[in-house]
Amino acid sequence: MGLAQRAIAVAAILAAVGSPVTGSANAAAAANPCAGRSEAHIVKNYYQGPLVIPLRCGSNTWGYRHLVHRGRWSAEFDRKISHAIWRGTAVPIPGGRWHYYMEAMPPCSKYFGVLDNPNAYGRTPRINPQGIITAYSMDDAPGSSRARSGEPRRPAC
Amino acid sequence: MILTSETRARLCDLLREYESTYVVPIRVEQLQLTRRRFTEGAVESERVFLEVEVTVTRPGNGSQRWLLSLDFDEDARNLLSEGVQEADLRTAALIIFANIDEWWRCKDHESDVAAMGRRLS
Repeated sequence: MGLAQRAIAVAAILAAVGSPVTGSANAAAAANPCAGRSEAHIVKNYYQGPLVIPLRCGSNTWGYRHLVHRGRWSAEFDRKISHAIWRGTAVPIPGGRWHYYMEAMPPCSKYFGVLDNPNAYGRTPRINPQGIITAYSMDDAPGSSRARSGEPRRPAC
Repeated sequence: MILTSETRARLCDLLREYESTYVVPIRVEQLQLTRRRFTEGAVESERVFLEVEVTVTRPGNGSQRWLLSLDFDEDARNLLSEGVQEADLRTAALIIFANIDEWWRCKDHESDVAAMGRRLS
């Protein structure tokens, strides 16, 4: 193969796959569904029967950006949120509600909880409901005060 | 951006409603907004943080005072700016509660969460 032919072949390959820099930039944009989006943008919806709970882009303190900021978001984490909302126990708190399930059985103690706001984000009608604020694994069931229950703490798993 | 005394008092009142839902008793003693500057390469930026002073009562271990810093830039602009309404404060209180509860529950196994808090006593 002559030099000119080689150059044409290389150019054709680059055109087909894109440059490495462009490729990684596209991958990053695809991996971040909130790039360039407002806090209101819905990343995905979770369901509990007819009840729909959105995960919005949010901010560093709530929603998808909060979960990414804390380094938690993954396909497995997504499945846990879905499970907590679909099958978990609901506990109301002022202005919000927890959805949780037990991840490990006694004598260990581990729960996975999702906190959502079923009402609007402040006075903003376009963000109604606000949806998921946060989600994480925890040693004690959400909404339960260890001091109030008087139960000794079980070992974490 | 500053919190007016009325806004601060109402937020503290709303946060009292959450005290029975923390895993250990936590009381918000003081709230204030502060601006912090960041430099990334040649780009300088400024963000608003909410500083929250809390007292944590641990059964049998006395009480601890902590200062927590929440990156509250977007939320301060949306919920605590001029013309703040009761609905804004209720949402702000829920978000603040959520982040305090999360800090206490996760600080021993998530270093980023632990970095939010500085023990005062």
